[in-house]
Amino acid sequence: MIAAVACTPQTPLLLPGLGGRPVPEIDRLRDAAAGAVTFLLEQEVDEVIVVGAARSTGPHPADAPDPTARLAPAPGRRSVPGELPVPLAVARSLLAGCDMPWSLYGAAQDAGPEVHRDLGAPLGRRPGRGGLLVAADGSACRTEKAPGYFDPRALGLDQRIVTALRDGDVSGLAALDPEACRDLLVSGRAAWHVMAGACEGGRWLARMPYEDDPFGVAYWVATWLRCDGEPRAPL
Amino acid sequence: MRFSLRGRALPDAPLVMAIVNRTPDSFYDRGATFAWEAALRRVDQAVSAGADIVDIGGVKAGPGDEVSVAEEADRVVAFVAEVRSRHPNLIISVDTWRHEVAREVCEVGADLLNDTWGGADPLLAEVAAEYGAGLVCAHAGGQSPRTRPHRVEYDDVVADVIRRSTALAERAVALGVPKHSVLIDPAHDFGKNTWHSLEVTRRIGEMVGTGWPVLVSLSNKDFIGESLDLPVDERLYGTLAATALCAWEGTRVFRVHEVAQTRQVLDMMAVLRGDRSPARAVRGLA
Repeated sequence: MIAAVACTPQTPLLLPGLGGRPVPEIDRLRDAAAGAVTFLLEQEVDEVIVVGAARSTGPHPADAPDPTARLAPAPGRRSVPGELPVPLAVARSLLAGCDMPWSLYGAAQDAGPEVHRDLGAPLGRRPGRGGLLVAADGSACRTEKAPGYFDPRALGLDQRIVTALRDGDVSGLAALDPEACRDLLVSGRAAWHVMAGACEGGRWLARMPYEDDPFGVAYWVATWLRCDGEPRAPL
Repeated sequence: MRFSLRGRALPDAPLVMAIVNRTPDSFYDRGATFAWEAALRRVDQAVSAGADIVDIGGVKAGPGDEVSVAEEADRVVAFVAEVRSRHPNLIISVDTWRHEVAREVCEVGADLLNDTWGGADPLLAEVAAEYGAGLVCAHAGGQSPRTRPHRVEYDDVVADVIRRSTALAERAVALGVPKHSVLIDPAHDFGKNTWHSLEVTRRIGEMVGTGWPVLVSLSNKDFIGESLDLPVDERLYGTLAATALCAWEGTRVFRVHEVAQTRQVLDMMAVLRGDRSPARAVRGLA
């Protein structure tokens, strides 16, 4: 059973050193993400299950090499086989120093929503109290300077995502349209579908400590805490 | 390797290619030479400052307003013809990925097609072959024209640059483009983040080592701006530092905004490499 969820962006900028020297916008984002992970670990969970976009759906070794050289080549830094998909590496970097066991699951970015519910639902049925760490972010088409340039449809789609995350709304995440997300460079769709599958049937107290788009990509940090059987707390 | 364009042999020394934008929205000059007269003045000034080549473009590289084939042709074809008539011996390059535009500019005297988007239009090389024009074969990482890189990854960016650009060069030669008129270009910042562009720069010697003449377009680009945290109008010294490194490693063509400054750096690097004698070395020798 998933007891709590932390949702952080999947941007490679969260990998240590990727942004060059300290960048204030990245530091603020990383602090918020680290805070959400701390919250997750405080919920008496037995394990951390990490989910992020990947080329194919399936588990990755917990100690797979970082993909830093693929994104940021530098003298003495070379790519090696078996590197983690970036979103999983980003999430794992936020677990640095964590003494709890963790497992890493990739969600194929081009698979349909039902496939992800198929991965998510079994994760949600695991015994014990699981902490789910989801690496996902929104559209990269929010401004003219954004990686994908400005697309007026991006703001509406991001609004649907942020509403679902802020309301603890499983069905809102499950309803994300893969085609629209692909067109608008929403990289987090697959991971959110898995999250929806893993969280289905629960009632969730959601909080969103961070919401911004400093580089034209929608970043959110959210936490969900299971509150089944209790009246939903005011947001 | 010998380098010639439409029958003209080029000096075995680094060449300066001056950027001439017939665009209202390019990142550096922001439309300063969009107007016909302003663009002609830019050509004249570039030539007098020591440019060997002018590279005329009608579409900004980044995303923005759609520019149709007809609009692009309107911006560059007649202009190329005018430059050709004013500067009969100047090497004229045209920055386009579209074969329709390429055909028209070759008709009016263009010598070189600068295909910065890495073969997005496969017919472009056929036009170069048909007219005996040269071709710049660039690496855009497979991205579509006018798109920005987003979370791009490479096993080894330099290996990918060499593989794709030399494959395009070999294809061009197979189609009939004169072998001595083909250049390869790593296309800094195209399909690359700043780390990738820096890696390509520090390992530019590996591209030179392929034997194909190498062109670099470093001028005032974002990888320099991000390295130094400087806006576009303060990137000249960073540009010249990268220029010096590439010149030391044997790069042949430098596509630039600032011609005179680049010329001076290249001349100094040629002296440092021993490719050129000092202009005057009498001090201490009298």
